[in-house]
Amino acid sequence: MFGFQEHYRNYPHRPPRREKEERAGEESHFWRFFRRYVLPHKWVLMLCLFLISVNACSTYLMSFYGRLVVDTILVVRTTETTTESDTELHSVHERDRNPTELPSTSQGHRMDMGLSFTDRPPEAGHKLFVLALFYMGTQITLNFLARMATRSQIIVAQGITGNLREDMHRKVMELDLAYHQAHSPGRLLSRILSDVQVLQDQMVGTMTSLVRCTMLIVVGVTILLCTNWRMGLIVFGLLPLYILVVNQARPKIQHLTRELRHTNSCLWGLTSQKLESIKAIQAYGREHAEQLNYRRLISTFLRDALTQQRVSATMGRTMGIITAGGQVGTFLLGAKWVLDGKMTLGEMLFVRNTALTLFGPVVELSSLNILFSNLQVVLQRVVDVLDHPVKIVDAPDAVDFPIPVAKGVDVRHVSFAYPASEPDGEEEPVLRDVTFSVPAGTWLCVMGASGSGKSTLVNLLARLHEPKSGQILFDGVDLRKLRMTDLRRHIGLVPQEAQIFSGTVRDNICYGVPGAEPNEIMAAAKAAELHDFILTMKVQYETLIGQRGQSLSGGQRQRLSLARALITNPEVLILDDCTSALDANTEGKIQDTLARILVGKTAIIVSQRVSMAKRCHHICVLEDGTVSEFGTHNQLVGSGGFYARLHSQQTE
Amino acid sequence: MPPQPSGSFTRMLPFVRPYRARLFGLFGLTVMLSVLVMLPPLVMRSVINDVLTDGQREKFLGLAICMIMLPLLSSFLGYLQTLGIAFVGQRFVYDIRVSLYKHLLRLSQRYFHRNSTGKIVNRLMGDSGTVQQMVTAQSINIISDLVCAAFAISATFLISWRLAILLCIIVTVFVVNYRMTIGRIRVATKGARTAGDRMSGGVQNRLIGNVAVKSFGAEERENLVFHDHSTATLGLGKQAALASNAFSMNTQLIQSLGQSTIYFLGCALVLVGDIQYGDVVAFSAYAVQLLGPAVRFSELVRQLQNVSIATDRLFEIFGEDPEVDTATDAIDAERLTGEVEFQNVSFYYEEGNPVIKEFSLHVKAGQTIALIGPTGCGKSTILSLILRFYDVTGGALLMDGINIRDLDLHCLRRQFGIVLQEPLLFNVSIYENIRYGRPEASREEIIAAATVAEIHSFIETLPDGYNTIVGDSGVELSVGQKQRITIARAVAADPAILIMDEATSSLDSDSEQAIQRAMDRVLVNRTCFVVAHRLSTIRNADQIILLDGGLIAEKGNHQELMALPHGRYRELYEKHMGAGVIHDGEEE
Repeated sequence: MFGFQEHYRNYPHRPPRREKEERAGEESHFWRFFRRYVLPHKWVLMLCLFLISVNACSTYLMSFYGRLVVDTILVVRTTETTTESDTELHSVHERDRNPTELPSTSQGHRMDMGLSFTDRPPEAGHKLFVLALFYMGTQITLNFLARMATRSQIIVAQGITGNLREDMHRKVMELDLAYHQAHSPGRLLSRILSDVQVLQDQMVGTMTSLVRCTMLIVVGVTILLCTNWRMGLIVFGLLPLYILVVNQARPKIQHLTRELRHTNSCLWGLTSQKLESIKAIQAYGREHAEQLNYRRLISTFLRDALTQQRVSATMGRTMGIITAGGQVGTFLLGAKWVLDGKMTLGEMLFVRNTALTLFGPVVELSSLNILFSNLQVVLQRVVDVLDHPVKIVDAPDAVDFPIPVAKGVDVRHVSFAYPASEPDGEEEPVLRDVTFSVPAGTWLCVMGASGSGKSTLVNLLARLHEPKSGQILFDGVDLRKLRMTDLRRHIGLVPQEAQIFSGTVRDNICYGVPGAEPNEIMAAAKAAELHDFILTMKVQYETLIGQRGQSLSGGQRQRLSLARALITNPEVLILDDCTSALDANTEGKIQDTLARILVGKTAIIVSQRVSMAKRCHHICVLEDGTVSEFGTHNQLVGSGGFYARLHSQQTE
Repeated sequence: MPPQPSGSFTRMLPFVRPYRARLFGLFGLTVMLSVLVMLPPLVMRSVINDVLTDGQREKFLGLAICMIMLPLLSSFLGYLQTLGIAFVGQRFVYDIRVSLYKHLLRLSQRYFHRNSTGKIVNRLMGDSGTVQQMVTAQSINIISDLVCAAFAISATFLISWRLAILLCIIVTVFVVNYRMTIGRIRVATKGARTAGDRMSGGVQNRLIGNVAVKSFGAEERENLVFHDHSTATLGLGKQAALASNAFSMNTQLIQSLGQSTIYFLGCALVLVGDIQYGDVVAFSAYAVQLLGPAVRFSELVRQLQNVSIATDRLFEIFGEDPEVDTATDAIDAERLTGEVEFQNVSFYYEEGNPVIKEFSLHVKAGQTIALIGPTGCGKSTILSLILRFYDVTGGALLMDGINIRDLDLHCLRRQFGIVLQEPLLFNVSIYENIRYGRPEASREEIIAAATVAEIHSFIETLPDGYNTIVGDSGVELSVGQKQRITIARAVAADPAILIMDEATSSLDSDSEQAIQRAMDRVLVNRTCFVVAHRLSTIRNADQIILLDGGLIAEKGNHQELMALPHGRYRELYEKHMGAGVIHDGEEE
């Protein structure tokens, strides 16, 4: 592909790297982002950029001061070793010197340059001192200005980050469940945190370097053209060569760097996956084969790393030679001209320094387009989140949740399908024309095989998804007409997978009611059969639970999640198979408690257990997204359907 | 107390030894290169002094050739040096990683219980990189800095001792400034990072628990929390950025003021006639080249400490010995019948805290043994002992009459097929996953195994069939499907003994039924150990062992145990099957 041998890289454990697809319309994102977040700070930013570039250009000023020193104070000039007595000149300089020192050879004849003055000016020491003061004064001033500029730049950049990050967070919190199901927490996290960080770092960095480089080049070129265009031409001749080398090697290096990064992430993935499954590896005695897998991947890494190093070393070598060529060429040619008297030494050094300074910004500028495209990719990801429409919002005429629930919950002809994973793929319907009603104060048990749409139904009831067609009514009011916060406050939803926050046990239980009293918390924990377990821990309710509740067993997590719902004393309780990880004993106890506290409440309970279904007033069996059976336990047991089968399986 | 660098470095020697010749070559190259880099200012000084000022034109040609040759030579040597560093460094880290991984795979389960995967992977991938840096790039840097500094100091003293002393003062100020501020910057950066971690932990929490956040309507509250975190992080981040900005500006100021002091004092000396202008130019060049090494030297101790910490962490893993290992005179049995005998087996993870006490049991080949009991009663531990993930601490465990300590470990483990609660699938095709236990199995055998596990027809419906990639990065499968693949894997391994640790507990009844049917077919002619908490799955077991606190509480088959009048098994069974539960009719 790039003229070096491509290794075979695609094998199990190292799937091919997916190229990011280029998308049109990124510029508009760029400007939109710019207007919204950067433009409010434009004056500060512009001032900062200006000051930073002035500071950068001070290099030229410093070289210029050097020129003044050499040409007008020291008057270093070629001595033609000929004629003319220097006695008279000596006397001119006597007062500048330490009389005890021998005259140095540089104090020679300087009559041959055809300049208006012929020697070191009087009071050279004084002038040197004044110039030094100027020189240092300039440096201190510029440094001070640049310091102020970067300070305010940092502050502005931090402000932008803060705004953007909070907007992202707000948006992600608003987005519906379907979005969260499609995007893993890790990916969203990296968008909110690292992508925004990258934007902060690179956005300002890119702008600064753009302005600084342009300024350096413009000023440098002007100086070259005004002072000595011939010397300038040499540099201009070398610059394209330089850029050519860099641009030729860079795609290779980038390609290899990407491959390396990919291999590296595969390596991390492989090792962590294998170490997680160490039981299976050791039990099947496959250590040797695993070692080979690892060795293969790490060999790819090694080969790519070496190739990358070689390519970049080659580039470095060529660039080094070109730079050296420019340096030596300008110096030698300048020296020649100085010898021939076409140029003063100061001028020669000034022009040479200026020319050399040009190399840096030119290369930086030519690599800026890569930074830009990176920036656009990141920006695209950020904008994707920010622009994603929030589908589930409050209706303008939303009403409060009816308390107490008088009529119950009606589900009418509800259908639902998840959006297709591929853009032109078929949507797969999950629920089809589901109709049932739960009168107030009764319990409904929803049963069915996995994949029959039970959890989806639960999510629809809490309005985490919106039905594709049909209605869900609470006391005759359409779900979509209810204020969302109010709806969710009065519905106690216990999801199938318990979601535990890192924090104390108490924080987790009173998540829905932040100011709950200790006795309320304990009552909820007791109802969820968790109180006794909590008391066995050293600091009891203040015990810290790690991320995702990893220190708890599946059953403990489910009970914690149940306690959290119970403490809010909901009007309608929705349990999504929340006792599946419990042993039969605890499950039975929880069922007993639920039966006690749910009296008079409306409940929709998803369960796999006939023992639970028996306690409910009605049972609804879902099969392939439709209601296949509906009725009381006694009715269904006799019908010979799914429920009857389940009943016989679980009781004998 | 910082770790002793010498100790950790000697342990690294075996890995460095294969490359010692190359390393010494590299060091020689580095010395040459450093000298070459330091020469151009001297040549320039000659040109300015002798040719341009004194007009000795005859020297010009020689100096010009020198000036052209020096950069060419040094960029060529630099090229060689980079390649050398890359080669030695990468090979070195390759060797370390490969042998570390090999060692890791042999370590016992206890080690993996104690250390999280993240931590181990960090050591394997992260720390080894740090050590590599030290062995190559850093040691080369130290050498080149030493040479450059020595050269620059002697050159400056030769040119003008007065300026050289001034230069030393400036370098000292430079380093002092660095030392004084860097601590503050590190503290600020660390604070910012901690705040950032807290922020990201919070966000992760909310993203994982987004259903809970939504169902309690807590979005606005979470936004406020995030605002607080974000503001705190930004504030600390700003402090860190401002501190490091102040530092870099100070550095810049000291550097430029120092340089101009040297320059102008040099010029004054030129006026006095003490030195020539070329000397000033060369001097300024050396001054710049001294500052970098000076700072790096002041960091040397810290870097060495970092490296020795990384080395310690790395070699700590090498220091772990596998608890369970094949004895030197191990018996290599081809195939066992599946007869297992526990003779007064006891076991503890920590001394004084026994998990299994005096456990005795004789299992005939082909029997199915069910282990039940409350959480923590030692069910899974017994399975681990059979697999010899741990060695028994008392008594003996025999298979076919041979103590398993005397069996070759690989040979022993080849006898087992395992199905765990969490189905462990690898990121490869379904075919590879099923074949995992016996790579030499033919395609027919794989398909037969999949058929037995009732997963064949499902696999056929996938677009890529058996070549479908599964695992984290592959196709999403339900837990039941994954579990059936692991059962197929266990079947394909054609084991004498099958081990099932709560294999069906996270499944719904339907999948459980399917797996149950599959198991019944698999179990023919095989010894099987089952741990389950759903009693319906174990009714047909030949022996049911009810464990409590590491002791056998009840033992016998279903009928025998149900016959015990107040048996705990019977009590459990009746509760599980829903007997005595109020029917909805009665409740109303």
